Amino acid sequence: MKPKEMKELEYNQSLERDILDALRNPRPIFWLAVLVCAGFFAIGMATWVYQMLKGMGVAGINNPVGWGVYITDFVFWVGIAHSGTLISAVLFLFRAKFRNVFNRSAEAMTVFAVMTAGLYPLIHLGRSWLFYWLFPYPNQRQLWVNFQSPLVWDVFAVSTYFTISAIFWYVGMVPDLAIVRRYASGIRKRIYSILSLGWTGSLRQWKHYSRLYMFLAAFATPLVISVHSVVSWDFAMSIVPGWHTTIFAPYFVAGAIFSGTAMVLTLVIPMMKIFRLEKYITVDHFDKIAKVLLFTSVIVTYSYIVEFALAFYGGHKFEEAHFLYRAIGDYRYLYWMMLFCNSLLPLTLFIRKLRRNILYLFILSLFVNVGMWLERFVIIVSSLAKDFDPYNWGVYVPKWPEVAITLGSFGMFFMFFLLFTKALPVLAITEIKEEAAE
Amino acid sequence: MKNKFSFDEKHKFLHKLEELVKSGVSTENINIFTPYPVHEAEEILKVKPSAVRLFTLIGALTGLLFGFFLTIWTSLDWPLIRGGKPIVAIPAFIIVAFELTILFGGVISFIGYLFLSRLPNVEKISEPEEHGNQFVIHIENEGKK
Amino acid sequence: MSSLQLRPAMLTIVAIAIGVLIVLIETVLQDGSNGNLLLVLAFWSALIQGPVAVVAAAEISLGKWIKPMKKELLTFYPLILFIAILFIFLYFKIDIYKWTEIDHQWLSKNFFILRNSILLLLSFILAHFYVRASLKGKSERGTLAVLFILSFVLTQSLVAYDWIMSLDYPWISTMFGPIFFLESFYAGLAISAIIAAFKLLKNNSEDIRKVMRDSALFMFGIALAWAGLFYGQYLVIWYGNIPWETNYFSVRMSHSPFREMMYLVIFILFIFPFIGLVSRKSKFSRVWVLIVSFSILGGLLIERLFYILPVIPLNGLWLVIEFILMTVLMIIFYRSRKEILKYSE
Repeated sequence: MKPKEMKELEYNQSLERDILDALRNPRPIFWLAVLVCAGFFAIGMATWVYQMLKGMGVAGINNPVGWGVYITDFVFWVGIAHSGTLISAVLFLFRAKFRNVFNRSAEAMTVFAVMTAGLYPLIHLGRSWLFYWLFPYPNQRQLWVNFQSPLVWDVFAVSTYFTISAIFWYVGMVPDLAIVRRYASGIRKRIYSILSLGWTGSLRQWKHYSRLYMFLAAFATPLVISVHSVVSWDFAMSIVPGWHTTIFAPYFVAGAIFSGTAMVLTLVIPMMKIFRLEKYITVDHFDKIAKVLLFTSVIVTYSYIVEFALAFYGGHKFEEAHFLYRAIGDYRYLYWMMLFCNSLLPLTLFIRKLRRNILYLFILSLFVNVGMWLERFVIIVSSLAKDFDPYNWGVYVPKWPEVAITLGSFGMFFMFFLLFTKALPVLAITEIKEEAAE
Repeated sequence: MKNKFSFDEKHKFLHKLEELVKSGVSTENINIFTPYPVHEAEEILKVKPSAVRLFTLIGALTGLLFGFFLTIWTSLDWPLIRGGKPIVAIPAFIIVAFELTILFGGVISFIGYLFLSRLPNVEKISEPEEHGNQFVIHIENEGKK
Repeated sequence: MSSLQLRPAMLTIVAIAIGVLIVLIETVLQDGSNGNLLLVLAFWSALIQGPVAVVAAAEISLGKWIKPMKKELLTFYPLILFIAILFIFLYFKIDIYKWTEIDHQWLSKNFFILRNSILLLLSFILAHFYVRASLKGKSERGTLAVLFILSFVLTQSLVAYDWIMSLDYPWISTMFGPIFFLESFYAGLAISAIIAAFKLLKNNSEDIRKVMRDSALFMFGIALAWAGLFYGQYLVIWYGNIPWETNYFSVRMSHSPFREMMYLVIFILFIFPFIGLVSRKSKFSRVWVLIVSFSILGGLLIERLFYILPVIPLNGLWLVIEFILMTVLMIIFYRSRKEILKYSE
């Protein structure tokens, strides 16, 4: 935050310098990190090609568990995307100033996570090259897509989500790109000049900008809720025990924001350390974001309890049997691990000292990431493994292509994020200036 | 009289702006450039509210209507009962209509914003106009006032 | 109206008198089993807990907007105790629940009364400590606000699952809890807006105008969230199309007046506030905000009727009297806020 004795101009210039410093001179270690991530990404892509050539049989999914790691990954990455929108749009509408230091990287995270998530339905399709059949377009088969299918809703929800978050990210970035343009030279100046669209900072531009930003935030807020609701309805629309329950939409939305907030911490804490941005991202900011994490964790726990309790309250045999299976069946270790990571461990954030301990937050965020991945895995796989008919039961274990593609998606995500930190301003400079001036 | 003023600090800039408007300079002739949005300046210059909202409204309504039209028309085009639901299953179509409302609303607002603020500006891309962290007041057509 | 400002001792007597009257109505004056008491409890508990929850939630999220309205909303907290005690008398009406005829571990008469009244009592105690800490500006007010909110969510969830949903046992919907505590919050905001609007009709103050604007803004947001939850619940049941599950809605949607009630509820709790409060001007218009807020409270009542009425009959005349009594009680408590909050300080 701005020290009192500092003049506005002085502060603004030092702010620009500090943040643009992060863009300069990548050290070899940076390239090494990019290379490692790119390596994972390449392995993942190669595995996908292998799967296409050999057929879906190389993956562990089969009857009865037709949805396995791929769908888990899809839900996981869409979930990661959500807190980006929460931080940039919802907190914007609530005028919560602490968002200003997180929003740029959170929005970048959103865009990359949706890109990663978008790959999974294609990977899962098997005949990935026919993906365009998902879109409604006039064709010689004279068929339209089934608009009653949750999977088609997904197509609309996720593509809308990607478009709107990309626009939101870019619109907010244009004024900052104009700042980068001012400091850059040579070919970089050309590129940033084009990207910043000839921004001058005139009254007219700011006027329309402020309005548009507000509207996009107002659109993004219900959108983010609808997207994960639709994802949850992929499951809830069926009548499979453990999936068919009305609370799924808010439960998934809270879970998504929970996991995404954890991912923001996972990304921002090292970023802050490496680029020495402690001056701008302070412990107070982390304290507040930890509260968001705690809040969503409590909602998720509430949903776990409600789901579990009502299964027994209603006395429906299949529901009862299913929830018992989750707790003591084949996937029990994953289930208890999930409860530990998502419900128990975050409760420590009630302690103020731990909320303000950056290292602790970082470690906790890793646990939450794991826990939330497990949550989706448990929900998806255990329901399919044991549904109504004992003749139709089975156990699913992922095979190596699924693991490789999952690692590949992490590689892709982190590679994009690393490149982002060197290509674009990692903090929202203008918004921090505006906040400091008040 | 000078027709270009620049300031390091917001309050000085606002002060001068107020002075200029009071001294009778037509608000239409004043151009200002700021490093971040300054809403007080909008009040001083009495600018009209942004027309972006018109684009938003039109976009959102178009999306809503198109969403329902697309789902209902394609369902009627090949009336096939799916899952025991009515051919025109409004509860399911609400979702598609909702997403398209937001998609159209967002995209058309963005286009409207680009149009209204005259971006991208080819001239300024090839030769960027920089004001740094200065708050600049620029008065045009001094003589014609 | 200043005669309505009562001292705590007098207030207690009035509350007891009203409580006794309601109990008398329920046990002696009307015969036959009906859901009057349940409706009174389910509706008024939302209106009483809601305002306190709004203040506590604003406290947690460091929202300053509520400040000028704090005392006006916190004054209702002793009524949580009133509800807790009144709830015990539901024991005499317990046969409205069909599950009393079966053997169920969770749904047994004594346990049902016990857990709910204890939880309400706990909520009252937490509210008491929270209100004290909050008005004195003590440092532990944040913690107490969190605890109160937890107890609020739990009680309102039980209102949903235990009081209302179990009428249709074994029908279940996991969404009921979230819908109910969101609605209680909705009611709290509506009350905050109503108080602000009435204050503004007397004298104009910029602070109160802002409170009204912000309450209206949050009401607008909650209208959307409510629609999301309600639709989310309906869609899952409609799409799943399982007979024992869809029955709940098909009973209610194929008969008048329930069908009309459902459309009315959707209109009042979603469409009307959404369209009515979307513009900037409307959030500053006192009369308009009053209309929207009162209609929201009415909508919440109709919604509860929509759940209860198809299962058990209600006695309209006595219900009106009971509601008038409760309204008087709320107004007296609002009027006596200075005395009440002095007592807690």
